Amino acid sequence: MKKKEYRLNFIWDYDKEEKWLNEEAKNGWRLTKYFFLKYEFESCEPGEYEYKIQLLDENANNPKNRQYFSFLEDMGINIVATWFRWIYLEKRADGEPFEIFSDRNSRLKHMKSVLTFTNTVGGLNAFIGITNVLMAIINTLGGNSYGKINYIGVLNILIAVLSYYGSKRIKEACKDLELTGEVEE
Amino acid sequence: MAENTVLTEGVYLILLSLKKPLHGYGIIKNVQEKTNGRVNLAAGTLYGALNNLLSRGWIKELASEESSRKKEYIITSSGEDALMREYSRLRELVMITESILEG
Repeated sequence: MKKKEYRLNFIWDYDKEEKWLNEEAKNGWRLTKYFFLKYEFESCEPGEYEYKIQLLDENANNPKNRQYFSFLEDMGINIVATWFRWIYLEKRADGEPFEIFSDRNSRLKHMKSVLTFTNTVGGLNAFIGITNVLMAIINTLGGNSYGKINYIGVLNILIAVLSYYGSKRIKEACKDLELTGEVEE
Repeated sequence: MAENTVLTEGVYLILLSLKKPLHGYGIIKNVQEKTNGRVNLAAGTLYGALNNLLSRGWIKELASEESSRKKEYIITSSGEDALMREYSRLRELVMITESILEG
């Protein structure tokens, strides 16, 4: 059996997206494809697979990643889907929790690159959004017909605001890791 | 490398495992076995550590046999030096602890 789900997941909520995919798998749905908002699943044994999402340093199709991908495959980790710098990883459940990072340093490094990515997306949206809305206001004041409410601009600002809260959440998680790092490896 | 470098537990166990040639999965299994399952190296962390150790020259890749696609690694002599430095540091810590607890 197959099913499709449409779902908006923001990059700064990748851990929640991971959790959702793992819940789907617990309910017997295995991820087979991902594209933009569309997730495709096929039925599997409940709890047969586990999922992780990783942000890479380069685009997933960059040849630099080939070696890493074959390394993952050797570990029994399946690359189900790639999306720009993101990869969706699947592993057959073996009793051990599925992790990509097992120490504080590598976990922190990954979290920080998600943070940078989030801030870039947020900043870009804030800039585009504010520019668009300001242009709309200026045009309205000038009696210009372009002065209708700029929905795209408002959407950009909304995304920027959401990313701000996402970024705040990741920053706090980074700080927690850094604090434990003062006494633990 | 500074003489007083402290290795992470993961790196120490990787270097120790590579006294004999192993591929990535073999390292994970060896570390699991030696620590009775306490230390589980995850793929991304191990990959990062191996690349780091390769660029430091502490380990090297073995020329792979045609039949196997998987890369095998082995410790180099500078890797052995780093491992021994860490071993003496750990021994020193154990000795200090013992002298205080049992003294």
